[in-house]
Amino acid sequence: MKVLVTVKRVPDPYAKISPNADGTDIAREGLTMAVNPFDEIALEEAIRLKEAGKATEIVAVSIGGAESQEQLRTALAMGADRAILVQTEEPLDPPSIARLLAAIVQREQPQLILMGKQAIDMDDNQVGQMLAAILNLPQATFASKITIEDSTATVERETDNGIETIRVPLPAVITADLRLNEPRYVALTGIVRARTKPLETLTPADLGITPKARVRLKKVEKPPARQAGKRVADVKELVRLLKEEARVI
Amino acid sequence: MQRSGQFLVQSTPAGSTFTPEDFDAETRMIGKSAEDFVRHEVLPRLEEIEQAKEGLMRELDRKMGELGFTAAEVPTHYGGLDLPKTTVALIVEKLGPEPATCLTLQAHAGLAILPLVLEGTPEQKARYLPKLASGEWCGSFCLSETGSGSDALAMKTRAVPDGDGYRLTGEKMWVTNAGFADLFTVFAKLNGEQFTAFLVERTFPGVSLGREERKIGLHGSSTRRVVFENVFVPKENLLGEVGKAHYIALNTLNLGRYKMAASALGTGKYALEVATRYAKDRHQFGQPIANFGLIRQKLAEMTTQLFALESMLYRTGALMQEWFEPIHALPPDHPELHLRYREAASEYAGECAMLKFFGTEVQYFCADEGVQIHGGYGYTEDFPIAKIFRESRVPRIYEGTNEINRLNLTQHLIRQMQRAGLPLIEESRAREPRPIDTLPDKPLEMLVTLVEGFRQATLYAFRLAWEAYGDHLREQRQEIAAAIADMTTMLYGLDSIVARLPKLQGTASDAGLLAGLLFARYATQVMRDRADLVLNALNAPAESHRLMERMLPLPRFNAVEARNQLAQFVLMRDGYPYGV
Repeated sequence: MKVLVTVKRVPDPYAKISPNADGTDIAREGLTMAVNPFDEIALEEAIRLKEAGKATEIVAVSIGGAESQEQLRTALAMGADRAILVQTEEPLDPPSIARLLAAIVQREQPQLILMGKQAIDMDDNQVGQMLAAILNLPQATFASKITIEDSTATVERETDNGIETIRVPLPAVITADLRLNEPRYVALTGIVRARTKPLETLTPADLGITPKARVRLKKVEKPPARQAGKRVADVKELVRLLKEEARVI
Repeated sequence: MQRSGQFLVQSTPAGSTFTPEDFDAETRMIGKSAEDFVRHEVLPRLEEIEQAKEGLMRELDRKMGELGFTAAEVPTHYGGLDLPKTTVALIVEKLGPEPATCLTLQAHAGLAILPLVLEGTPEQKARYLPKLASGEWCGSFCLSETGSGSDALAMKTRAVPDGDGYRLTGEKMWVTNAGFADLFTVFAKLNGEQFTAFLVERTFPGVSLGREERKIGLHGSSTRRVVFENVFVPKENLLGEVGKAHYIALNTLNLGRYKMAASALGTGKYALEVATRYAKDRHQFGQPIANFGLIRQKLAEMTTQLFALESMLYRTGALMQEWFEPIHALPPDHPELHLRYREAASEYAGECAMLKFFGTEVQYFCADEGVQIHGGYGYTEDFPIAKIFRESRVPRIYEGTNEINRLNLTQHLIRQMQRAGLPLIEESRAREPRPIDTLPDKPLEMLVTLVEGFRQATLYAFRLAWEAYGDHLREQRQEIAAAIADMTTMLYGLDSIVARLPKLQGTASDAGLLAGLLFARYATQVMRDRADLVLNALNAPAESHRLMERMLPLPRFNAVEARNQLAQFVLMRDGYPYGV
């Protein structure tokens, strides 16, 4: 079974984020970048499937600038077998990313597409669902447990009402939630081994696609500073303020 | 291949040194692997580490083996990764936030593995290196004894030939990893006089351990005596050449000292990080204490010293690597392999000694100021800085005290002059006298001029001392030898910073220039003090004093403002503002 895993380059989850001077983007100088943690979980799951003898090949794919190679190398070091970068400097929205991924899926014909449920930079949580729709494939989102038997995946997903178990025939799109697994650390031996693993670079044109983003980023700004609290004399005053000032009751 | 000590006789072209900015993506990934390990697997277990929980450090050591940290300096032929010395330092640096774990790795991956790499036979390497590299086995280094520390050659451990091997008897002190090491590299005197090394497995009959030492810090790291009672060591376990174990000991320690500077850098950066966080959180007089000048001054000075250390460390690592690189191409059974390793591992002995004493003093300074920023809370175990402070004391003592290493540096310069033809005296004569009458106003030009002044002043002091004491400087006037070591260090520090500045981008570039100015200010004061000490001790004429002073003009700039600005970068980045 071939598994395709997405790997997005995002700011390190522990990095401090602030808007840049003209508010067109976040300040990127000196910002540490990393693999989207949810994608890392998806990749870890793929590696475990391979270690369990269920998967035979893991292909990591990323869409972005040349610097995304760094995250693909990380994926290769963790255990992916090869990597594909769809190189573009265009700002993309979720539908364009889903279309590019769909083209990759058609080219690679994986039995399983594993991806993070969302990327921690934009938190859209859309690409997995859109990809499944474009390809007309079953989807199982927010997976917290995946079991593969023959050509069926049994997926437990966390919902507000509890754990939901669904069964999907493969090929399918599965998106990973936080509790699916704990990704391994990249071992130095893996990093050295990754040197010789293939990393292919394509352009959207190679896939016959001219991405056009319909969603544009207009402005990045800091959330408003939190107002200082107010001390009230008694419950009566509190109730009055909640009614008259906060208007919540 | 550049010879050691070149910075004393030649200007360093801007941008010509290796700096952390030069690390490629793969190396940064290696650094991140070590950083992730320490942040997610080690720091959350600090309490257990402090309580020296049974088996925990061995478990962490084994994990470091799985991740490949212990294989970093092992040749690929024996299951290692043979990483460049700069990358090796980066791994150690990233483990710096937890000094006990970091030390365990250094004793295993450095002190235990390097003697085998440097001088082992192909059979010895094949037998022990794969196990040590993978972390299946842990190793340890047995040199010091109760009565012989700095004076290692006064050791009492004896070996005598016995049938197909030797009988080893003696007691070793301060053995790091002793509690769980499977292999001990033991130094002893064969037949009472020939300094020789032996590979002793823990299971050899007659090997036993003393109790854990009760140390001020590093509680997670195992330190015990190892006792050898008439231990039979087969002859194939004699390491290197009979009577020539000083090559093994000294060259292993050279590389160990280099890596101690890396751990010092990592621990120092961590002290800066926790102190910065505290300064932002702690409110007094209605505002965070990070707003106060005297706190910001501390953050800026910690950063300045760390920036100098970092610039010196990675520069040296790359220079050493040039000597190690050609060895990789040799077949593993090349008959002169050990001689080539000796050359490579000893060439930069002086710089390694310098990095060791300078680095560990920077670490201590950062830990101490880190406590001060924390105020009373810094003196409690509720904040990580207390542990860092306790653990920052001993690095100034082990792997050669900082006093011994100062002497080593000056002695090394004399050796480079005599054996490698480093033209220290000639250059000093050629340069004299070129006093600096005015310092340029532009900061970068000012720094470049100051470096030249430092270079002349150091050469001048060295020449006067050499003319007075020659070869006997180390034995007859330790104080002068140490003062010259300090001057050499300040020169190397400022020189390394100035060479690095063009590589910095964006805000790091602004922060770099500020640290450069602040280091120049600090270093000029040290230079002047040591120069004065040397000249007076040598009864130099007043003219020499005047000349020296004119080589070392004090840089004039608003240091209060510079510190405030540098602290601002530190506060923005929540710690060290130059990132890899």
